[in-house]
Amino acid sequence: MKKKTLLSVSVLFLLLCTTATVAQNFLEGGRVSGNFQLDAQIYKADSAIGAGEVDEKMLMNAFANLLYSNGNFNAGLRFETYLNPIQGYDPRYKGSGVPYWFGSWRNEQFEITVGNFYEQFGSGMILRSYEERNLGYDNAFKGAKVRFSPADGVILKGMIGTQRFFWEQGPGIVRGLDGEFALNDIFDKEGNCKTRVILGGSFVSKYQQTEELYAGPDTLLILPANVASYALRANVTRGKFALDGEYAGKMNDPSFMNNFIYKNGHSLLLQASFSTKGLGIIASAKRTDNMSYKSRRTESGSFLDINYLPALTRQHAYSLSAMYPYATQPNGEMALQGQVNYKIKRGSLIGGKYGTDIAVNYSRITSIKKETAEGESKIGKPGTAGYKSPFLAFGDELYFQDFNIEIQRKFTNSFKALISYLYQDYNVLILEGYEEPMVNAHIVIADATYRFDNKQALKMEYQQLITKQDEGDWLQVLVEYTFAPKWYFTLADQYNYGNSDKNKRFHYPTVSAGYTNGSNRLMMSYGKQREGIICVGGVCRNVPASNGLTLTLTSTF
Amino acid sequence: MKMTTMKTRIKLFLSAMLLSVFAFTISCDKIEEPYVKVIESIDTAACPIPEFPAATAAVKRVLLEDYTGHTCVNCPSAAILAHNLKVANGDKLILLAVHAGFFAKPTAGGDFTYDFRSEAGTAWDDFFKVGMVGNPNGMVNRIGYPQSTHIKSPPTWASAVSSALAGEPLLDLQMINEYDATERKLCTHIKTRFITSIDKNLKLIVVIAESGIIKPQKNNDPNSGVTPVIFDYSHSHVLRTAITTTWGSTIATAGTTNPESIVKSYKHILKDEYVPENCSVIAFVYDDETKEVLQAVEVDVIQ
Repeated sequence: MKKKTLLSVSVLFLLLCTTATVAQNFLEGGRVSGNFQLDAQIYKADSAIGAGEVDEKMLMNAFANLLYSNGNFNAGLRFETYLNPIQGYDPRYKGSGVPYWFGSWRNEQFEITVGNFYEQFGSGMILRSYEERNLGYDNAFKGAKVRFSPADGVILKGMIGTQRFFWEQGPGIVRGLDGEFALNDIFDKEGNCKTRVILGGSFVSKYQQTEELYAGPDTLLILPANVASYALRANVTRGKFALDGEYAGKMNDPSFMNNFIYKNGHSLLLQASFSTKGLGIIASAKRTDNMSYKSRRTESGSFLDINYLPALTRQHAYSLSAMYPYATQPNGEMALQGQVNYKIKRGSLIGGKYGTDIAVNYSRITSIKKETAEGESKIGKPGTAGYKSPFLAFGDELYFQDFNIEIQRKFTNSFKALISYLYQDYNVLILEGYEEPMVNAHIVIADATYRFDNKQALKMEYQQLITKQDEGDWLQVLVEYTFAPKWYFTLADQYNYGNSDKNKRFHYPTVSAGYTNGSNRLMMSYGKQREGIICVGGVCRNVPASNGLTLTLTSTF
Repeated sequence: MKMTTMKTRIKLFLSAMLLSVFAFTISCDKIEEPYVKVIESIDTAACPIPEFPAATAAVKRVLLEDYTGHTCVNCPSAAILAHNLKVANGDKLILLAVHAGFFAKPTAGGDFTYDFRSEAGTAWDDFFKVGMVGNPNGMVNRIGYPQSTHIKSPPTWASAVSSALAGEPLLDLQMINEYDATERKLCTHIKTRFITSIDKNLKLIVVIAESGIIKPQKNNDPNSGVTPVIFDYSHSHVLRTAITTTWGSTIATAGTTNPESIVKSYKHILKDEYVPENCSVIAFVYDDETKEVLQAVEVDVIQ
């Protein structure tokens, strides 16, 4: 008995020692990093601007990322808590938990990730998972992915997973393969060729069990359980010129988003650019036709997207220029965009002492041409091929148009200014879904910053939006005083002075302050926020009107 | 040597492309026309449509769905509340206990291994998000969707039921059930009579509910039974299965004139575990846009 006990203790001791040694080796040289963010809002009802009563009085979103790295090994997790989700975020986020964790390791040729992961093939037109906290959007995969580099210039990727749907996983399984071949690295190691070519191809397939979906009172849809998509891409660069192109196709994928039609989807994205000192030119074109691709066929919101269709419009940073943002239309759009950036030389008569930057941008998005499918009298009828659409044919309906010019100049070492003019056409019916006339808006922005010394600066913004439609004219003024590196104070007011209903000519004043200490930052603001839409990369969410105190705390380590 | 390396690279390149093409071809179900199939119509030989009695004055009946679960400790008291409302309102109130969501999940072992859930109940709960808000909660005629006021907590059920009953019926439902015990075959016939013209997409859902199912139920209210578990709890009005599909059959389409009445008949074989004497058929018609239930009816399987 005594011998047995002694043996057990010895074995346990050895095991503990071994475990401790392994753990020590594992932890030795390891590095832990992370970040934290908390956003809390305390609400006060304001029926005038449409800010309703919030039962909880205070709502809060917070998350923390923890990452452990040790040589070729990485592991991490993200804790999220929404108690309850702040307004404008989907209430289905309510709760706390760890929706994201992963482990990954790599050697010379392989990199393997298990758990949750983000991935993108090419421009993302058939596969992209990402997180955008401003939108409350997260379609991370949960499964496994492998990255394999069998030779120089060759990268092969494979993945399988389901997608995050709030605190659950969507029902569809997504499988994907991607190959990228840098031809110069494969065939021209000596670097004789001045033209660089990268070719790529992707294949993605989703599986979702079939279900009973009606096309009419007595007809059921015959659904594909597996829906495949594919994409081919090329990137060619030579000196100052670059050309990018990607074509994507999708097989029959009847879904809520396309009104359960069986037409194949197509998308083409082309971009040409020229860049030299002081001058940059970019021209892009995109055609999208029936390319919504989700891992649940009945999903109606902006969730469970397998792919991402980039918006070919400029992402505006100022409040009024971003008041009418464009949301990508996956069912069909033709988009054109061009941008020229030019720097007038420093020291010249017009350029001034420090030079002057000019950016001119234009984008235009219309519908695609649609014709009735063979044997059908109506476009887009469920349970049919939907419609025919001649490739590259523009439709008649304008969705969005944006012309903008921006001039920035540094006048002295302590004073710089920006002025900008924008003209936008915004199709409310298409982009927001209700019958309103097209918004034609003229927007003017002036932004000046004066630096008193190395620490103190004063920034002033003036924005004005003029339109006869929607809520009419808006004005915004902002004054911000910065006392670097720790403090800033802002006073701002948005004023809907041109609302056709005189009783709705509201002010939306806010006062805010921020304090930064090392890697910690605390921001507070008090005031009113108008109802609006936030878009990032063509993906949008509605933000309800609110009135109250907002607090944001960020910290990294 | 250089040429050999080059050949290897080309082979590698082509192999990767071929692998991808192969992956693509096996990963797609190509559906050829026709993209739809006509649903098998009712076998009228097996379920001949009976003569319905002459219609009397239509009575408004209201559906109260109690979203519940066997591990939900507050659910027995909610069930008692629902029962009391049924006693007070009689046939005008139809109860349906929908077991769905977290508290309805069966456990791997222990007292709660029985699975009360149904495909329809889970789909409704996914759609209306009742379980996400928590159990017990319910819906009264599904009124309030999509403004998010459709989820009603038990203390608000009585007023919501009174309010829903106050409206005039837009249509009337009659039901006749015929049950063949030998084959366990149920023929249910539902007649929808339009009292006024309704220019909406209307759907009819028909489900089977069962009472008297004795299974354990968690409980934290001594007034509702023993705590923490009532082992011989009698589960009532449990949604067993949908006879129609989850979201029902279309009986009216917007833009078309309503007929005076329409009869839908369904054949259904009862599962062995259902006790026919304890089962009833519940049918309700709802507006497909607002999801509001406009009329409901409940008749026992064995009349």
